[in-house]
Amino acid sequence: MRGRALAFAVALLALAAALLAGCGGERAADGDELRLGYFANVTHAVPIVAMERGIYDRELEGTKVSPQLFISGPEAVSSILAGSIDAAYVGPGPLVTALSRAPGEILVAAGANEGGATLIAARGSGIRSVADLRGRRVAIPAHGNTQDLQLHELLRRAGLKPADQGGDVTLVVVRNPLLASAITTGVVDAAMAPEPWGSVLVADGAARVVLDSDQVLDGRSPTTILVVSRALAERRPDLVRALQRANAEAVALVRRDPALAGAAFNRRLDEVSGTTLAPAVIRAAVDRQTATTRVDPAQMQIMIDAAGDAGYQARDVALDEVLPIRPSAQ
Amino acid sequence: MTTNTADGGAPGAAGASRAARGARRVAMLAVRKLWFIALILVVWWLVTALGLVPAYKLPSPGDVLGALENAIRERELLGALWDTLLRLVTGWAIGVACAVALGLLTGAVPFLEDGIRPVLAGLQAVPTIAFLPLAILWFGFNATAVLVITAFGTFKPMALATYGAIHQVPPTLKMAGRAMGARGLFYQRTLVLPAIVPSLVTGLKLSWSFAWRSLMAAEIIVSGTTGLGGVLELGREINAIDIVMAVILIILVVGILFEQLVFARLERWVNRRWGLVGAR
Amino acid sequence: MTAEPLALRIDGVSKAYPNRGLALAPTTIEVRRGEFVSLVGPSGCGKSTLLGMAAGLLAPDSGTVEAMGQRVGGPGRERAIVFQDAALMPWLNVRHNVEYGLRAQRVPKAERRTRVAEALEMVHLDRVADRHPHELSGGMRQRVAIARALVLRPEILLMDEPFSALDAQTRTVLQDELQRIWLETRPAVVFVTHNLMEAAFLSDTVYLLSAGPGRIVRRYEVTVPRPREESDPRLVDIRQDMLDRLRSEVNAAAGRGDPDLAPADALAA
Repeated sequence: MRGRALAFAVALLALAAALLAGCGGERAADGDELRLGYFANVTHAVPIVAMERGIYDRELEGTKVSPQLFISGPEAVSSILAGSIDAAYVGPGPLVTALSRAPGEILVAAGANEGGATLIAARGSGIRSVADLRGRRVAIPAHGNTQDLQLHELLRRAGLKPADQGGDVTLVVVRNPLLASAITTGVVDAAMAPEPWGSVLVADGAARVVLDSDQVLDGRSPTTILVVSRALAERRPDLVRALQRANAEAVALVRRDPALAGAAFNRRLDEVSGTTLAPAVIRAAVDRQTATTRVDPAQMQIMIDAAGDAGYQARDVALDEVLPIRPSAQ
Repeated sequence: MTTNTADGGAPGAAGASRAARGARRVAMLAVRKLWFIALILVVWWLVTALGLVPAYKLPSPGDVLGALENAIRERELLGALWDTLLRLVTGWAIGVACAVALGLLTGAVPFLEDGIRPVLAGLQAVPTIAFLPLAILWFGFNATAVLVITAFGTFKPMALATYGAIHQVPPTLKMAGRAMGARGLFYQRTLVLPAIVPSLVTGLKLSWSFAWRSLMAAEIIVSGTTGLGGVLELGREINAIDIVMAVILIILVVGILFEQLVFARLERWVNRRWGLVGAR
Repeated sequence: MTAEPLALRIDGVSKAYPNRGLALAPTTIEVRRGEFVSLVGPSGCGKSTLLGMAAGLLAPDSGTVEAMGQRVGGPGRERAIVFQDAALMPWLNVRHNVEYGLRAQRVPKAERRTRVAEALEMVHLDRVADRHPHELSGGMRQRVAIARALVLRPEILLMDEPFSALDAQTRTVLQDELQRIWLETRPAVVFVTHNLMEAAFLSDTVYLLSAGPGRIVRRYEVTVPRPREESDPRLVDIRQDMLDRLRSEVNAAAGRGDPDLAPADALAA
């Protein structure tokens, strides 16, 4: 009697667990809606402009594109894995760490943006080069994100190591909104800052630029990549191609007129938070990045290697897994 | 014992059977306390081993143990655990001390309690972590701010528990104390404080869990401070659900250990000393 | 009566509680030094309210209370009180419970020790001095409460239904003990009870109270020499008289439709 009850309980629990973990929100876009994730960051100017101009809806004729705002990459890739969104603009870091655990579940459709990161240092810190970071504390927005991986690579090239790997540069995670207070109160001496935060702090006079965006890995490391779920790619390759077309269109638009990106970003920022950035700051931020559909394989390899060195990958991801089909060049 | 062996087998056999009974009792106790954990482990293992759920959504028990071992080796998880526990105990102790002191001080004066209590009750609805930006502004982006948040997270429920406890002191006990001439600090220290101890134990347990929550939330944000919260956040940031589950497992185990080793003992001691159960 | 000075003078005190109206009509009671006075009556007759005011734990709405010639405005050293539920401190052992009042009154340690020992011996608790209250029977706990009051050497001992929660046998034993202790130490006692026999047995003077509002309906002087026996026919007569008196009070109240009164038979217990 007790044995049967126990077996029943086991079966019930197993079923519940499988349902909870396996089927949560799985709803691949086979209907008339495509859920697209993006951030309210200036590096996401391409999707922001595309949405504003209705480019997605035009290219994905008959399918409604529902934008979903995320605040960081891990949430976006988790949502793709859970099946609650179909596509997203994310950085290379979250993409690589997710692929190391869920091989083949996320596919790169196209690039959207490059560069957009600066190495800045607190005024009076005396830091003038990467080598000067020895013994200092440097802020990163998150473990495993684009700026963190870029900093790892910069340190490696300068012959330095993060403190948690036996080196003497301490990396401190500081959320972007807290970066200003962390720099001014001396919690950190420097920061690998994504735009527009770097430009904001420089304009404020709180920090100086140590490496401008074009000196950070030649300004060509991928920042924003359009990715899609495996389910979408398998069931609706036509929608993926439409997304690629819309993305290319928006990239071309932004390249032709970078001011457009700044204005669109400011309007979105106003919508989301009720604030806007000064025109000079937004111009500086946009100037520090490049819209492109390209994902430079060599640069991507750098990101993969950095994630591997930092111990962020569950297993080593091959470049082929990330870029199996070369996105059509600009 | 040596004389027993000389006497022959009888006493030794009796001892052996007593030992066997003792062992059986321990085994029964273990079954009663551990069956649910075992059940969960079996189901968890089954679900992953049968491939019902992909590993990136639910890592197997083995994966999580591996992540645990890896985090201990490469991410100084034990150091982080120690930092967190130290911070937890310190923040909790500060919060409890402040709450009990405030409760005793103002619980004795209805005018003060009437003014303060509604504010405290209202504050319960505000997540402690909402005060973190303020704490960072005042104390910096550092461990002090985290400690303050932990203490504050402890303080809120504990202060209310103290008020509740003070109101549960039997009126005749208070009257007896005052009639014998106890007043002021002596009255608070020797009568009210010990009288509220049994009801405070519940508050201690409650505030302990609040301390955990505030601490984890604060550590996740103020990541310059080493601790379990930071490791948890790292797991989230690099999509490593096995690390996240390993940390959850650690918090769970610490929770069970504290409940069994600290709070259960404390409760037993208080119940015995204050004669609450099993007396007469 | 006599020229003996008063221990307690309760002069025209009254008390009303919110939503319950007048609990006690203006009442006057005088207690001589060394006199044993009982207040007896049904619940709601204000006897415990009277005691609370004598203890200084309740403020009267009108009238005054004087203890040993001093106006009462709160608890005082000349008075000690024993409650119905013993009200011991569960975290202290018997010895420390008895010692508590002496600590509160800053009596030096050496003196505390001898006085506690004396008090414990008087109530026959010296052997359980290290036990905690929950390890004692109800009767023993009440003995501790009495020792805790006696150790303060009060001139006035206020007792609020101290034996009403005890079983009949224990109650009888403790009544005998209280009589003995009172004869040894002779404080003035104000003893609140709803047990008519107990009142008659212990007291020099019994005030019979009635409810709605609480007031004194009769005063009895019990002159039976001590030590007394409960079976003494004179005491039985007094008890019977009190019972008759209360019955007619209750019947009158029932005629008025006053719901506050307990049936008089409950008092005959």
